[in-house]
Amino acid sequence: MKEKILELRHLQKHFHLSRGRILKAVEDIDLDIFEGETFGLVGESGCGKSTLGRTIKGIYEPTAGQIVYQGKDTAHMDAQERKLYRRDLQIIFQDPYSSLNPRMTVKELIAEGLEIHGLGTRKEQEERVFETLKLVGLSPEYVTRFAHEFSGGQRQRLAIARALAVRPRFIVCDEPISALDVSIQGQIVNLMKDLQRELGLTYLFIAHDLSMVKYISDRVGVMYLGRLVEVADKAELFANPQHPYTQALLSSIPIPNPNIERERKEIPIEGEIPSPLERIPGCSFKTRCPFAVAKCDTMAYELRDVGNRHFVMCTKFQ
Amino acid sequence: MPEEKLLEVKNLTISFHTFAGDVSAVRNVDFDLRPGEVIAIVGESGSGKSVSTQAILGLTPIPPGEIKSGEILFKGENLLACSAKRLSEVSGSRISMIFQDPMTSLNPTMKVGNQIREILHQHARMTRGQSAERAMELMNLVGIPEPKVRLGQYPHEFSGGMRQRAMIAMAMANRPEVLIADEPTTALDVTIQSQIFRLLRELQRDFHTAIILITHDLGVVAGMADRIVVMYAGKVMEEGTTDQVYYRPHHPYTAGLLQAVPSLADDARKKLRTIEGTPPFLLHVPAGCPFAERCEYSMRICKEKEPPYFHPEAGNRVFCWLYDDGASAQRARFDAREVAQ
Repeated sequence: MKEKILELRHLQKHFHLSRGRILKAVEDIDLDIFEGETFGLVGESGCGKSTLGRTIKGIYEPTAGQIVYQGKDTAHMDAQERKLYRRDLQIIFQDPYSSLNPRMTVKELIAEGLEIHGLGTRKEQEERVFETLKLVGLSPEYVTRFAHEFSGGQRQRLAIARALAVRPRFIVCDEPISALDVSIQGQIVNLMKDLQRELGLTYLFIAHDLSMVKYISDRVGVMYLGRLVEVADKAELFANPQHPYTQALLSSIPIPNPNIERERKEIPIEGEIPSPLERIPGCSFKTRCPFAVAKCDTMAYELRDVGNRHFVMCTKFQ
Repeated sequence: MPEEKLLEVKNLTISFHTFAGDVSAVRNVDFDLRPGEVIAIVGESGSGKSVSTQAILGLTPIPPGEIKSGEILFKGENLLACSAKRLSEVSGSRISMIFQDPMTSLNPTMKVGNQIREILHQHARMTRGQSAERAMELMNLVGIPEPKVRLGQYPHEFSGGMRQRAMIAMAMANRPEVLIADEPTTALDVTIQSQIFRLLRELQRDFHTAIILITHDLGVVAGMADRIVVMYAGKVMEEGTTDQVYYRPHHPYTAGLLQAVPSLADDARKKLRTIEGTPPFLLHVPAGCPFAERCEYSMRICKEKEPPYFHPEAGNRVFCWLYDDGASAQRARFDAREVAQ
């Protein structure tokens, strides 16, 4: 068994809006992520998956709960430990058009983290920039260029280089391929897998494209309205989904094969994800669930182990 | 299937003037549509799929755009040559369109009901009572619950999926013969996406509406399209029936695109097959096949001269030199490629 690198304990992130309304984006997440694995996090827009990623990175302060990195609670770290945590943990965003400063050259973009963390002399930093560019498959002669001179796929490579320059151990990948064309997505995913193998990285891979998540992840978690409703090893989750939401989600993936697609049996779920401002007692999926029963109103918020390292939050198992 | 054609795009070439020069976004594109048929135009960003279909409804921004050549025949009438008045009669009533982002195509300051009724009044003589009634019918048709309340709301009060349904209601208002759907679900979640596709399939079946579905995702059209047109860098690379394109792709680009999507059955230990490189800039149109630079099977001629369309099987055309008699050795290599299933 690999070591836990990151533990989330009852993590919550609420946003206070006008007129006293509270948007509960992340509600009570309990999750362990192990060294060297890729944890895929899926869910529809508004389910809180990006907020969770950003809270882990420290962009948002958690409202409650703990983020434990390598056995240490991030809330109780001293300044130096915190700096190290922020260096170890990097993030890649979805849109490489808005995440790269258009006024910085490639070299400045990649070296920024090195400067912030005071790593190396100017000369060493320069070498690290060249090295990192090569690592992500870009030519070192690009150092004087600006982000707008690159295509979407190349920009995403730059974003990856920016994250890698400080030699992180954990990367939050927030929909890193969603904005890219199909023929480019594969290039980036292959690159990320190669880098993981070479550098021993751990990924939290946030996405809504389930086929890519299945391809890249070791374990997968499904989020719905701020909560994890199902977590399992990838093969187990895709072969044997237990939560009605996961089942519906998997059955609605279109398959690029006409004969299978014409026969595909969908578990249709009606309606849409409710607003996270609404307060739904019990299971938050019951408003769309085809199997909802009375006891869903009082469901315990608990991921139950149904065997085979498979955890489900559903009254079926309570 | 009757051979009569509802819509024919012939030899369409569109350029955009920019400071850097002319960008040839669409070059000599042909495709056609029969009544009640669903075709999918598949391509990546910059392939010209949206530009060529926007021209059908006269939506090409001129300038900077310029339609250099071509005809768009709707029941034999050339829409590129007809008057603006005639075009606006056709668009919104005989041919209508829905877009990727329903929020930017709905008027945020107007109630949804009034937007639907505006279209009805524009194309048919109707009393206010009649249009109100028809608007209710349309809301029911596209599956919007509580239509009475919804008609009185503004677009921002609708969710993404509901907005797209409202757009479809507007597009279907005058029972069009052609519905052009430009990436109708790209902005939506997968469960909502499947709801919208289910709705489009029902409309096509119930009203015999022909649909042009524009998408970058080969996955979503497998169960819906009768025929597929694959575009790349402003050119049609391949056209064929859905089964043929998926099971027997003849163009290396189509084959590459199909392999680049991991199927749910794919083994994660295997590397994803990718198409290396990036599409060309259309400021400088390559002399030969625009895909040649990225093609594993490219030959000398591919970079020098555009291929003609070859017809490896009935109902299929492919823009590729591999099907020339002189290229049999290279073609055997392509045919023997390992196909992941």
